[in-house]
Amino acid sequence: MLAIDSLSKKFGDFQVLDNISINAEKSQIYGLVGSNGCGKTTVLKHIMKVYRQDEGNIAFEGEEVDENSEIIKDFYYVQDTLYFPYQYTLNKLFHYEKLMYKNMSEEKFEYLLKYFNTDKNKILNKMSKGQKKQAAFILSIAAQPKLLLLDEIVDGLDAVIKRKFWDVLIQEVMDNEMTVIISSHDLKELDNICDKVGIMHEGKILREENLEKMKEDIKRVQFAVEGEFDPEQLKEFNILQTVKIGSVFILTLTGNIEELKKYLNDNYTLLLFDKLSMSLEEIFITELGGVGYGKEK
Amino acid sequence: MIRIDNDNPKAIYEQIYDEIIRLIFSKSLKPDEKLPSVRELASMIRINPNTIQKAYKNLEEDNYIYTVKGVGNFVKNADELRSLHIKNMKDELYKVIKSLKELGLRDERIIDLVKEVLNPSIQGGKNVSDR
Repeated sequence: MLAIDSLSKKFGDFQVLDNISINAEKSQIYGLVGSNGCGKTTVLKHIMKVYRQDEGNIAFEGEEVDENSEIIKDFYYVQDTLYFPYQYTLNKLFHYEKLMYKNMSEEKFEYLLKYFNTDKNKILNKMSKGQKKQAAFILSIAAQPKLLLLDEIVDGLDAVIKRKFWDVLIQEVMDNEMTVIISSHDLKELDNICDKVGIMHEGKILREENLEKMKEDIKRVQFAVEGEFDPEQLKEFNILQTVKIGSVFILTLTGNIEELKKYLNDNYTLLLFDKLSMSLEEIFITELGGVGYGKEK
Repeated sequence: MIRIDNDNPKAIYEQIYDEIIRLIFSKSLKPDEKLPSVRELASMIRINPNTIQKAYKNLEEDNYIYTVKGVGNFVKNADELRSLHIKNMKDELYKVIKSLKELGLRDERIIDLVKEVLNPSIQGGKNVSDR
């Protein structure tokens, strides 16, 4: 497993990472999500030892990761912005990287080229953004790393390729117990596919949890009662957000829904009471709203 | 084949559980037929494999499916499922009757309605909406 413990980093006076802790288990898909400029890429670059942290440490399978660690050769990082060597084709890059990654598999490479219908002899820098991402992803899977870091990988991929991408990723995670850290702005893409999610904001992890558990914790209900109603009285149910549309209240809460329903039933004539679903996107907005992000000053 | 509704407040593994049962009882999945593997279903509906695994585990615990190690998951024999199905339908019936009562129908009227359903030929004269 990957364990990042209390990682901090300053660029000059700017605190880019502030006491970050991340725990991703073996064969887990970990979604790293956050507001723009919150430090997601900086975290990934620390794992790869592109940057050295000011404080804290990073361990993989119990072994501390530093610049000289052999274990880094089992990590593969696909950057958000891809730069390829001048005039290189995917085939040439494959043979170059084969020297660096001991598990690089030609068989897997050829299979994936076919699966994604990618031309290995095309100059990489002449490819479109989506094609470049595909090429980089093919190499990353062929390298068979233990830890795969994907920075905004689905960005620029069309719907068909996205499907294929997830298909390959799920297979690798299941068959080879690969651990994946994937960052994305597209929360719909990550919803229901990640085992665990870390929500970042301004260099901090606001919340890190199993996605299923997160959805059990943060719930939304809508209800209406006869007569006037003051939501202030519901404080004990840990209301995160209240929206009122006409006489219908929409609450986002972490408290117990059954008890809320009972309370309303005991004290009012309940006209409507529905549980609503919460997507990862809505959880994200609720969490960031809790720290004031996105609210006008 | 399996529909996941993101607007449904039910957890995803519960939705998968319900969907598989629906497929079993509609005979779309036949007794001793192999269910899609966890990996196949995970890529098909783009859901985390562990979530699928959880749904399958619950289906196994509740006796809808059985597992052959290294081979896969299979639908149980229909006879074994019958009593389970009856129990589930009883729950459904309970809900229907409860909502009819909430609408203010008297017990006799509900019994009449059930008789009508059982024997459509006695229908006529009486309107469902009268009380």
